[in-house]
Amino acid sequence: MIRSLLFIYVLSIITLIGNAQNTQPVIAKALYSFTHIIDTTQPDKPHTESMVLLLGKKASVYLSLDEIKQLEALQRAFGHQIPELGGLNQIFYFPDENQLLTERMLGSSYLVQEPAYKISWTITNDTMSIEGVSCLKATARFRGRNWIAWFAPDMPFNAGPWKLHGLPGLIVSAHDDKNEVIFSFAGFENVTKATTDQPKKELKTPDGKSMPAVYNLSVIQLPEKAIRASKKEFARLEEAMKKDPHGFFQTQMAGSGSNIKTVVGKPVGASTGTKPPEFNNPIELSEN
Amino acid sequence: MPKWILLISLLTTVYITAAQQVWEGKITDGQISLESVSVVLKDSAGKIIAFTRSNNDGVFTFTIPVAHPGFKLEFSSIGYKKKTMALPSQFQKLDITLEEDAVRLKDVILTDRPSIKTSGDTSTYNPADFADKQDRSIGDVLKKMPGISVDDAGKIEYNGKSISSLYIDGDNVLDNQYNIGTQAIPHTAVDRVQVIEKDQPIKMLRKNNRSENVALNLVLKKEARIKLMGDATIGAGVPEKYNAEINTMLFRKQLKFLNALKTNNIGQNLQTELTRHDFFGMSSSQNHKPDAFLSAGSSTVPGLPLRRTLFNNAALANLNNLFKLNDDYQVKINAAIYFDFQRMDYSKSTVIYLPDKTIRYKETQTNQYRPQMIQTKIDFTGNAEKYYLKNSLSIHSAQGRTNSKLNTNDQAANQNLKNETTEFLNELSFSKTLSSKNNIAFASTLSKTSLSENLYLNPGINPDIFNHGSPYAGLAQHVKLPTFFSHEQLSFTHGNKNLFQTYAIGHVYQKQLLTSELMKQDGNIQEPAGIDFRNNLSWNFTKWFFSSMYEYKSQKADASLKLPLSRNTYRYDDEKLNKYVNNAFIVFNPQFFLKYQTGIEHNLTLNYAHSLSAGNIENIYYGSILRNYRSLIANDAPLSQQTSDMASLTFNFKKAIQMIFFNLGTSFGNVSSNTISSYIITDEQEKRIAIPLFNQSKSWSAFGSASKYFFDLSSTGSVKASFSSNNMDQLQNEVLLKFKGYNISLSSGFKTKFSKKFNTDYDIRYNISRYRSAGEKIGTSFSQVQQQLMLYLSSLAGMDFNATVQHLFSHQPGQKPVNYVFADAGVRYNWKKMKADVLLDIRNIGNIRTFETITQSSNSYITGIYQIPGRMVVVSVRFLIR
Repeated sequence: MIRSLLFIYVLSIITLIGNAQNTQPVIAKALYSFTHIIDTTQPDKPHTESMVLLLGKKASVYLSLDEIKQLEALQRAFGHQIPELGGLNQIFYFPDENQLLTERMLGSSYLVQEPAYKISWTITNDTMSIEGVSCLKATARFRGRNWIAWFAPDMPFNAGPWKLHGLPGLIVSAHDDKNEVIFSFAGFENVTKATTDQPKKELKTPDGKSMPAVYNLSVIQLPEKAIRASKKEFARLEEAMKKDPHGFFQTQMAGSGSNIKTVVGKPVGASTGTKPPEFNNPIELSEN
Repeated sequence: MPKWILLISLLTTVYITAAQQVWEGKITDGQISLESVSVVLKDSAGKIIAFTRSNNDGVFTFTIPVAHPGFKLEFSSIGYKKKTMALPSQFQKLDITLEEDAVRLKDVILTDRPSIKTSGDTSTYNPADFADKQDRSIGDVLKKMPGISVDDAGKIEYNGKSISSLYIDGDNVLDNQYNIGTQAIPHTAVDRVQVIEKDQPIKMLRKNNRSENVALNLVLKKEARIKLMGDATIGAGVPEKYNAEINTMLFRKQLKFLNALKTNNIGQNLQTELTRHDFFGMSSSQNHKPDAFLSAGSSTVPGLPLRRTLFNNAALANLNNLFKLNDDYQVKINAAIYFDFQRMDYSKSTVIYLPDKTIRYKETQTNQYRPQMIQTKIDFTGNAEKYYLKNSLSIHSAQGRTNSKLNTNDQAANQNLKNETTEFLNELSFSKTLSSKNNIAFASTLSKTSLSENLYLNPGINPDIFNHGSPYAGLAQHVKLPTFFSHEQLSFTHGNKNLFQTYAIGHVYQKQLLTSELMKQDGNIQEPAGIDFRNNLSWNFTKWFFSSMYEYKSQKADASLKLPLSRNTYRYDDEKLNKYVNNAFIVFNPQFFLKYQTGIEHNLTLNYAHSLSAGNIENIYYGSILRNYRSLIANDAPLSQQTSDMASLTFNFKKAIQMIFFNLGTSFGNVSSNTISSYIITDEQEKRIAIPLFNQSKSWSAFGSASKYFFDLSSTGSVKASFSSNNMDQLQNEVLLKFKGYNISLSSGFKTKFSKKFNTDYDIRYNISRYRSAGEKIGTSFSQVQQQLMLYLSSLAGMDFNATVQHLFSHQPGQKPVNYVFADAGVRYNWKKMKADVLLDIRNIGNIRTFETITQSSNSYITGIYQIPGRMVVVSVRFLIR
């Protein structure tokens, strides 16, 4: 009995996702400054990136503003265009279904579904005003780190930066207890219908002429052309690509009709990455 | 979604958590239920003790151990007033109504936004992430970047597609002869490599960009943008080998240049640096002009890469300068001078099977070849938002001298060939946007070429033909061909969201005058060999055309249809022979292309083209031309007309998660022609005359390839197979032979990365070709196996090692199989103290000095034995200039 109920439950959730994952208008966007010590031996060389969280009523998406700006710079210089949506590294969250999907680029675009999880937050009485936004403190153990999050009860969104969410209000700022990963608040803007209709910030060429925007920041939509993958499947791909990037892409080429080349040219050295700094501290750690 | 499912799901939730007190409620705005409303329960101290959200039906539930007085419920949602109420003391179903509210949340704008820093998006690579200690140039590093490969000739591909341009800080300095750039620019000067997936260099076309071209842009580091950079290499080796080069470069915003001087005799072909890797313009395919009528002998060794076979002594100066006048205007000058002195010695034996007899002959040649080339190209580009203007003027002049001592069927002779070509080419294009959807473009090409060739042969050969059977001093063949070409067209493009229409009208004109004369030297007398060996042919080709093209693009499909219609007129006239022809006809050559996405991971591609094409001056001249000591070529036929139909279908499929990729395809072709080449072959001579005779050749092929990445082995495995069959007609010694042939080729590769420091690359290829004539029992068969193993070992005591072993095996029935094993090795040492690299290169360790190779056609085998450079050891040092 319980089994069949469970089945129906799962089925209903799948149907729900199907409904919810249509285009969602963006109501507001939150900006974050992301700092990550990727090499624990070189804490003075953190990776920094500016991020944006697009907030809809039933969905949110977290992506890199820098990545968009880079694409825009490319477009400005070369007329390079990416498809209106998709083709970026981004994290989608659907609070009603508690579903999290990550779009990742690895030769092709992949949509990776995370197994459902719930962060068990402990909400404290500590309050703080961050840039005039009154926030409450919450703590949780999640994916190998002790997180401290500040959320704004006055901003009724269930979302937050990266994979953090599930508080009664927008997570405005968050960091781990070692301060190795920090999402600090960098702004909040409403996206009204009026600003949605007209292209918000128009791109300008060096001589001041306008260009079409690279990325539509006014809707949340899952990429249609992305290949669905489980977290485990994608991790395997990523591992292979890290270990042998050349082989990884050669495989794709050889099978897509390009010639298998008998390279008789000057032999080159092996590809051993001397990566400065070493990536040894992912945000997600294994629990132990 | 049926409501009962939701109800059951909710009930299940309740069922699972039924141990505690479950509160439930519904939120509406009075009429419509409100979804995604935040519900927060606070205790009397204001601490949050539970929270939830309303679902699609406005329903919410939360669970608390027990209710206390003073508990407060808060409801908030964007666009509604926040509502606060006390939690009823008695358990009850809650009905909540929210009021609409126009007040928005407050914007928080921070002035000190985080600065932009590069992130690791996939279309931008940081060379430092891929560079090894031993790498110097950006080319060394490019080939390691995911998706990028660099082939033997220096051609760069991204995900299997040739790049259209290599930009340096956004400028196409090298005009697509980019080899010099990838070899000379140090990777340390490059901050980022950007992949531009839809490269559109023309600004006004960027709005509705339909480009499918991929380009790379090298973004330089700040410090690399101000200073002069460069490097110098000097090397020496045995036996008597040297190489040296100097590169200097500057990449400022207003002025960019890359100039190089190079020289070597180690078999590095410097001419490849002048190879253009982009596609030829629309005009060059219509301006047909033979590269050469005459030849002295074979110029390359079939079956081996040039570096294994070339005896050279080359020098090259390559200058590339770009001046930016402002953001929209630039001037670019690319110039090069090239000299070489090449040697080639070989002997060849040819067997031709004919129904009644078998022809055999032998020849030995010792050749010295001196090519020279000077070229200059000046480009002016105006590239603005509303218009595009480009004019390029190029002057290209090449000379070649060949001295060849030959021996054929025990007859010795000398051949001396001089050829000279000069071309002036001016290409102008101008386009302008009329409105957001409409563009208009004008293009014009003017070209003037001269070709002059002289072949001297002594003593005179085949006295039976040329001198009534008595010996004579020699023959001299002179050929001149000036060509004038012009092409003008006006086109209009209308673009909508998915559909683009282009209409063009234009005019093409080509005028040529072929003069040739064969002179006979007998004693001190020089006289024409006869009227049969003379041409004075004027050729005029005029074409008026109207073409329409439709391109459609959507999520699922990508299609194009080209419908070019033209009226072509061919007039040619040899006054002395009293032959005049005026030929005009309508030509319609439609082309269709469709790519259909049958799924996220698979697609179908269909191609079809029909074409009617006419011959050119090479197919109509009447007087015989002595192409080389063996071949006399002439025509006696009307203008040839070829009709061809080609179709292909390809299916691409991938399972990206399992890293399996494959494609399958088939293609058909049918070509028919109203003329055929008739060969008269004897032991001494080969005579070709084109004569009128309808003939047809048909071909079809099937091909497939697959590749898989083996996760556990860190290896890429790939297989490829193709089968092709063709039917064709050949007219030899007045017998029409109908040949059937097929070819099977199989190849496989396996690349393994054992560790960061050690990897291997293995390839094997098998090929078999068979031809058989219908009825007559003649034919040929030939099979070949090639395999190659490459090993790389890096970072061992500051040195990197590489080794290559190549095995070639070929077999022809009734003959001993031919086997060769070539081995090479190299070491690179980073001499930190001197900031220099030391390279040791050992080539052809087995010291193989002759190479035997077989070339097969439908009824002949040519066995060539070539002299190749033996073992070579070269040490070179490369210094950086800072």
